[in-house]
Amino acid sequence: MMMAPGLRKFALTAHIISSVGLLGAIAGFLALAVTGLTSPNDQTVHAAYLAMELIARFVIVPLAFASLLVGLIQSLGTPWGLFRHYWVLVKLLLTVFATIVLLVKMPLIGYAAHLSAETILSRADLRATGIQLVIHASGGLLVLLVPAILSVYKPPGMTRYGWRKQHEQAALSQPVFEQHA
Amino acid sequence: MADPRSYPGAPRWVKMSAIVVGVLVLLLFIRIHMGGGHNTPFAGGLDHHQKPESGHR
Repeated sequence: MMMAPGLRKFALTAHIISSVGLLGAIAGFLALAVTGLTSPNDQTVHAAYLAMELIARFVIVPLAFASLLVGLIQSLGTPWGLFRHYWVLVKLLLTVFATIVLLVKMPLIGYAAHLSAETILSRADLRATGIQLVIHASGGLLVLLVPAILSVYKPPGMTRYGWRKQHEQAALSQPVFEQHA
Repeated sequence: MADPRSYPGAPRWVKMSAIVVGVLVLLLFIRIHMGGGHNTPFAGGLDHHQKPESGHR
């Protein structure tokens, strides 16, 4: 079912806001992760990891799901489709992959906040956890930059399914006298 | 002559991306199985700290 132009524009706006917001939130998360890893001040480290947990739980996870959901609705409600063009399919796969990794790593973020809240900081444990968080935040940022670039450039290339659908629709849209000519 | 309606195949950027992803996955696999496994986030801290999940890595 195709969306009406007004609804389509609304979905596009929601998709851009959630996707770009997600990128910004992860960039902020990365800045805090680097601060938590490098700061010599215990209070700063504690504040950084506490803020990271809050940002991940209340900003990054909701935005990731919003981006994924609105993207699905938008692709299914427009002629682009979900499986017809490689750039849409790659975007979907990358966003699903990033969301799964995020959910898998949520306990690690909570663990870092828990460690940093202890009276005597275990620097070795916190450092190992902090390195993991910096790596994952950097990776997540790089992975989610690709869908943003693909959305702008929309590189050509149809999947086999998209190719078949396009030819089926072209055959259906041809007038009857042309088919019998 | 080839049928113009036949599927032309995946574009070059998709093939190149697939190769890059394949190489990255292979490198990750090698790193995990050839000595990167000791540097886990919870390594060394399990005896002294409460772990947020019960699974072991």
